[in-house]
Amino acid sequence: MNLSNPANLLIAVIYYILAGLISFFSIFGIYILMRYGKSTPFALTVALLYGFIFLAILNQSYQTLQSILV
Amino acid sequence: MHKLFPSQMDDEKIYLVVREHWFHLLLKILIWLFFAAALIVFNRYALPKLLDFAPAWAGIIKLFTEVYTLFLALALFLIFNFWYLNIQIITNIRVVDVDQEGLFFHVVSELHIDKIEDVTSQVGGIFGTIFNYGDVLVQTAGTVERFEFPNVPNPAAIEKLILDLYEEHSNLSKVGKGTNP
Repeated sequence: MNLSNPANLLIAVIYYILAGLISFFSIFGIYILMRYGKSTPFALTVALLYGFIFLAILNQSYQTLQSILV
Repeated sequence: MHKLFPSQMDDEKIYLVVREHWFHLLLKILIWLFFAAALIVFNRYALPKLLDFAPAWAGIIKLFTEVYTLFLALALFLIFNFWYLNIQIITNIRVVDVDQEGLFFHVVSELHIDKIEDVTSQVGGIFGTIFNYGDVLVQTAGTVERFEFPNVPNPAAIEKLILDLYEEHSNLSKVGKGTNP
């Protein structure tokens, strides 16, 4: 990643802040679902499904960021 | 046996576990769908024109749509979470209201059956009447003056159940007191 360019740096910072916040709320959401949902199979399934989808989109967005910041 | 609430006893009989009516969940999902549709419309109609106008911005626009998709996924997950984790439970001993108020605030309120003073059910509005959902309000003699079960299905049946349990509990108490001369 080329962060010497101010525009690239700004894009990277904004991305990391947004992705970081979304990731934090996602992890906490999964945590409370596991804790208060009593780890029933249904809650586990939903949490896993969401986890996979979230990670897939996050990975895709990170690759896009890397391709922009070359 | 997994417990629905922390103080649940092993011999406690669960009569009912109720969540908000599916129609209210559907309304929230419809609002979510509006925002999801906005993304689809943007990708389908606005994006090609934007790329023609400013091809250098293609990567940034793609990144923006992916971050927006992340928001949408999180929003849908949280809509489900809050619907799933907000439950009301009626047992043979008490009424329990479990509220997940936001991500960081979890409230469990319990009301013993013998502390109930009054139970009211109300169904209002077109959709409430059609789909038979509404509120159950339990007036108490405890610290929390009123328990509310908002937008629950078949509120009249829930009201009847609570009153029947209260009667049963009262009768058992009277039998217990009346046997000794």
